[in-house]
Amino acid sequence: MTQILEAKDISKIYPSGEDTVTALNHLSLSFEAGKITAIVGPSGSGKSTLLNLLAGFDRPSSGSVKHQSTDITTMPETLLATYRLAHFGFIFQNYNLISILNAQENVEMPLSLAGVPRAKRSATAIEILKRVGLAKRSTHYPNQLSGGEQQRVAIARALATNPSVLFADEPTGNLDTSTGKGILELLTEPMEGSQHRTLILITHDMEVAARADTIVRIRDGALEA
Amino acid sequence: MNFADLSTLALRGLMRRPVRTLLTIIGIVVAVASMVVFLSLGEGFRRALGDQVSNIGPDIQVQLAGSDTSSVFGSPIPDVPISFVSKLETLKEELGIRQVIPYMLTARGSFSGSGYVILAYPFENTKLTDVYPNMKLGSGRWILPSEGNAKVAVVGSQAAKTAKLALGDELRLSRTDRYKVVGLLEKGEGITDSAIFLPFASLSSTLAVSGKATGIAIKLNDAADARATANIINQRFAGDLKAQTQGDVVQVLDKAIAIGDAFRFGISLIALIVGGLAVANTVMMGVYERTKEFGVIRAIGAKPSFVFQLVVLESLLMALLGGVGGIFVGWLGTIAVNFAVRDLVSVEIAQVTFRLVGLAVGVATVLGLLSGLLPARTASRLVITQALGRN
Ligand SMILES: Nc1ncnc2c1ncn2[C@@H]1O[C@H](COP(=O)(O)OP(=O)(O)O)[C@@H](O)[C@H]1O
Ligand SMILES: [Mg+2]
Repeated sequence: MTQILEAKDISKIYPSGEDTVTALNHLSLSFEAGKITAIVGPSGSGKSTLLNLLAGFDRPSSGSVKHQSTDITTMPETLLATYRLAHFGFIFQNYNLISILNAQENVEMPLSLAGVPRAKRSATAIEILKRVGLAKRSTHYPNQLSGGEQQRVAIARALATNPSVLFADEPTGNLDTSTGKGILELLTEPMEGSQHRTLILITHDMEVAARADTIVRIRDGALEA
Repeated sequence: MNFADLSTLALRGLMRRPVRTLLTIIGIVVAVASMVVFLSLGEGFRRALGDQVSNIGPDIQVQLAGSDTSSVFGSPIPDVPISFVSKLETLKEELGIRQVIPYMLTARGSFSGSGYVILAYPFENTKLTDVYPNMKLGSGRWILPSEGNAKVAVVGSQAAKTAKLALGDELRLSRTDRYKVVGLLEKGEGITDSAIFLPFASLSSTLAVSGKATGIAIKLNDAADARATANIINQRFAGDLKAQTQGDVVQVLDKAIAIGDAFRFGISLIALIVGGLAVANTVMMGVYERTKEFGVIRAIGAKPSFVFQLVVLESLLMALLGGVGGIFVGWLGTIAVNFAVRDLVSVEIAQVTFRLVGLAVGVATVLGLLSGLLPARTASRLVITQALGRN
């Protein structure tokens, strides 16, 4: 049982006009490698804020986040970007594909940022698109794809760099139940060698949460007892 | 990410709003083309005036102190008393002066080329080739020493065209005064081409001036003494006369061209600034529109510097496309200008030189970089969570 990600006493306070909003309040949490963790909780409870901090999109007001043994909260922005590229993958509720790039180019994007040569990254992208069942859609642009298909491309993009941690913020939130199920299956699919990828996902769906190894409940920016 | 990939991405970004991008590029095309045409005129003028000045002739020109030298281009009122001619002649030995020649100059028509210049010399004791050694007669004859008071004219080839004069025709300068064209000059370079030459005394009576000249030309035994001799004349006649060498005249004209260059560049600078603002505006709008996508790219793992480069490159691409288009359109413009004035001037007045093309490319590059800076800064400083918005 190896710990891969750890949040230590993190708080996040947003300014809100003259006031402030405490989105996370001294929360500590750790995640195990190869496990699926579902984060559940009412709307506005701080789930997305937590995921953004874990993924290094933003920095906590206090406390720290460590990946393996690296503290990512104090990393300079440029290094942090490279770190995200190398270790993390993200799936958003509203897919967030780049509209000017087709499916394959979207999947190639992180590889191209990482400096992978053209031939290699195109082969990788085609291979992953095949895995998510979109081999025939590789030249389609996001606006030519259905919601479910776009989310598959997004998953392919997140998997392209073979990240050690996959983050998903309500990945099925915009999809109907059966489409959502397919997406979930893709996310929870074992990696090569039957080892599971570390997956941290936010969900409203208790059925989805039931498939997780661990369920984390959040309320008002803190863990529910 | 390598440069090719970055360029592809930048191009795609621009192609997303093709009409807006095209309009912006057209703005740059117009700005750069206007710069190219304006400055090409400078290049041509420089060449043309250089040719003309070197053909003016006299080593020293003497004018009344305080009269405006720039009136070379206007019709200066003859204001130099002829009495100075004999005063200068008394210095002949001492200063190595070969000839002292009073002249009268008056311009007809506009300076743009549709007009001509009238130059009068005392042919009693002067030959035109004394003043203009390179001048050649095409047809007819020179004005004779006996014709100091006659109504006769020798006409430059360009002036003959503009004034529609042939050998034997009459040039009418007043209700009563007609000058018979006795000689036509061969086509040459410079001011003599656009000039009509008359006897000094005849023109004096036609213009009803007496005892005055526009200026006095001085030929020296040794042209190399011009500067020193001019200085001595300026000392001896301080307050009365002002002597200038050819070099002085060239300097004055050069200054005039430089001022013209600055003026024309100023005008094109306004166009360029407006074009640059258009690029900045377009790129900035693109940044605002794509805030979310930039957030996504950053979230995936792009560095802030990557986003910065991407935006600057978009701006640079637009400016360079506009620059190349502008050079081409500007070149077409200079062809049009040269065609329009082909009958008026003997040289191609507008010239697109390598230097000018280099300048245009340089200006477009700087323009693109500057215009992209602010939008790029904005885009690279996005806060990822804010850019992504809330689900
Ligand atoms: N950028 C922000 N600025 C101000 N307040 C924010 C911001 N992001 C989130 N919040 C506030 O923080 C709290 C938690 O938000 P969030 O993490 O998005 O909740 P959840 O994902 O659980 O719905 C909410 O009260 C929300 O309004
Ligand atoms: Mg949320």
